[in-house]
Amino acid sequence: MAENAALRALRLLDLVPYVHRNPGISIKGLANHFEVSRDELIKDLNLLFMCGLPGYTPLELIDLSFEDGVVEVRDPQNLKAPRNFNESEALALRIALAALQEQTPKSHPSFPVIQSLRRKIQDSFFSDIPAHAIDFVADKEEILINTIKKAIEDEKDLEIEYLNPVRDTLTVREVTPLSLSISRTQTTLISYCHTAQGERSFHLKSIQSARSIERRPRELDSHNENQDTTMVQIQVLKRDTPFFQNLQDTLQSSMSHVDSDLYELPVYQPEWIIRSTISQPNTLILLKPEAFRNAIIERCTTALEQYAVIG
Amino acid sequence: MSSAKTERLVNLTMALLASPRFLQKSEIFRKVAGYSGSQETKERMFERDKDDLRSLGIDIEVASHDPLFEDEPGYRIKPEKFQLPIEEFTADELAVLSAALGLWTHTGLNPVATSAIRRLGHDYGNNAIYDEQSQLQILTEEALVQLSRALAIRSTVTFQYRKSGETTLETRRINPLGLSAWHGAWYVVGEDLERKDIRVFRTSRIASKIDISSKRGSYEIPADFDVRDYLIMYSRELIEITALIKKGSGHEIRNRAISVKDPENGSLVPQWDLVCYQSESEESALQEALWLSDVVVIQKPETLRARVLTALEKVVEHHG
Repeated sequence: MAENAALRALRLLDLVPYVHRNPGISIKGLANHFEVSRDELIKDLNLLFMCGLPGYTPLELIDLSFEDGVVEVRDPQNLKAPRNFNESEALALRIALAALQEQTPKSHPSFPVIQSLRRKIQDSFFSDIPAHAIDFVADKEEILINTIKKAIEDEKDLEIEYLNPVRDTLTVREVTPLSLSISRTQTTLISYCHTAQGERSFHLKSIQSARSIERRPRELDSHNENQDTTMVQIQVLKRDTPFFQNLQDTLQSSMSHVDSDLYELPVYQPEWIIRSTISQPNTLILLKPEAFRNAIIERCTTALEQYAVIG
Repeated sequence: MSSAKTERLVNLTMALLASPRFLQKSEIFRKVAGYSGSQETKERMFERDKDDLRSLGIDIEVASHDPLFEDEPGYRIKPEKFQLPIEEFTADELAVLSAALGLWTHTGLNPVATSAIRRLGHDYGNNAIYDEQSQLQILTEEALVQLSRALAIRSTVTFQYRKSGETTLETRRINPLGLSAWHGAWYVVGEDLERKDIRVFRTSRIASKIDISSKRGSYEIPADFDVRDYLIMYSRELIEITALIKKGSGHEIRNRAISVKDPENGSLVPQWDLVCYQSESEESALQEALWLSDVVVIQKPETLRARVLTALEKVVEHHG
């Protein structure tokens, strides 16, 4: 389809400020940037020679040159700044910025830039479409699954930012993704963790971000996660709770009769059973070991003091 | 292609942009190069030129030359609307703008985005702040492209729509008011002109080409319009919580914080932030506050704070 005069005029209006901001750009480079042929560009530049402000004396015309294959604008008249975004461009930009913000982890240096840009674009330029008319909430788990599957397919590693809910820590790890384990309640990434030098599992809901990086070999003296466990004895006060339902297969009854509410449970992370006990006072009492009971009392006492002193 | 018309359009734009006041048609015909022939010819040329520039998104304002008298209307282009205040953007912001527009690369909005990127003069190709592979799936819906075009110029749209669980199609004519993406699906909220009510449409259920009316600016969107007010996924009530959270901890809560501030008595608690966040229920907020009891001190609501204290005392009692 032939280009119409209006579209060409728009290109000419864009050419002037662009060359003004990129003095000495080559004709070839300029033609590439505006996706036109060299001949078309030269026709455009020749036409711009004739354009300017009313009066149309040499002082009022756009003053440009394109000798020796380079282009320069000596006087852009009133076309110094690039043309503003039109309504369609502004809306496309707002949707894309909303999508980009959803995709970018809060800890990424670009996140505050995106946030401030969204405000700036909304406040300064386009007010006909209110700020809350555009909304974007991504399916982050699906995005992660796609990223992980692609890394496995392309034989890449991943850099993940992982929030460990038990330790309440945020860590950045480099992992070799091995597989995805999908259960009814959660999806887990099974991987070799270069940071921990061993196989590790990461719940997707706790992965804050993932980006693919070049694969590196596993460390020779890799070892598996420390499998040391502590056997704890607990009293389950309520059975119709997620805690009991999820651990049914692991809990071992302490007593011979099945109706007993006393159980033994192998625990890999003491912090997990301490937090679980404190957060479910109507479900669970930890009976043994004594050291864990003391840790629970100490944590609760400290918390109560914090409420009394600062809160 | 007419070079004369292109030249006239550039000259007209520059003249309207340069004028501090509204220029009457007679002045335009006298001063701007390219207008020739009979009065009727010049009038027709100007009307077409004006329409062409407006269709390309250039805002030509019309007003009376003298507001006290109803004389011939005048025209001008405000520099602050026409020019992108590029100096107000940092280099980082320009890179992010380009990256955002680059998300449209493989979609029907690519020409729109490319034109904007070209003016920014940045290359988004090397910007690694987004994962193109995963994000593009969300933005490639053709219906989204058409609806965003219509929303941008406030034009009525008509399409065939299949309601959930039904096999028949209905013709719907709506004024789009807002767009929302929710977990991979797009929704348009619009004023349904037949039902005279605001309705929500899932774009994947639009079963025809979307016809966009050629009339621009045919409706206005209320300034306080919020697309979430009409979407069922936002209808559940959330409770708002204020808590002191130790700096460098409570990451899960901080991730969904509405605000993070220094506490009023900051000098007494320098190691803590005052964080406002939402929770689905007081029950889940209680469990979370107890889980993080070493780093979270609930301030409000009072009922939640009281329940946390009771629970902590109960745990001490159980284990003492």
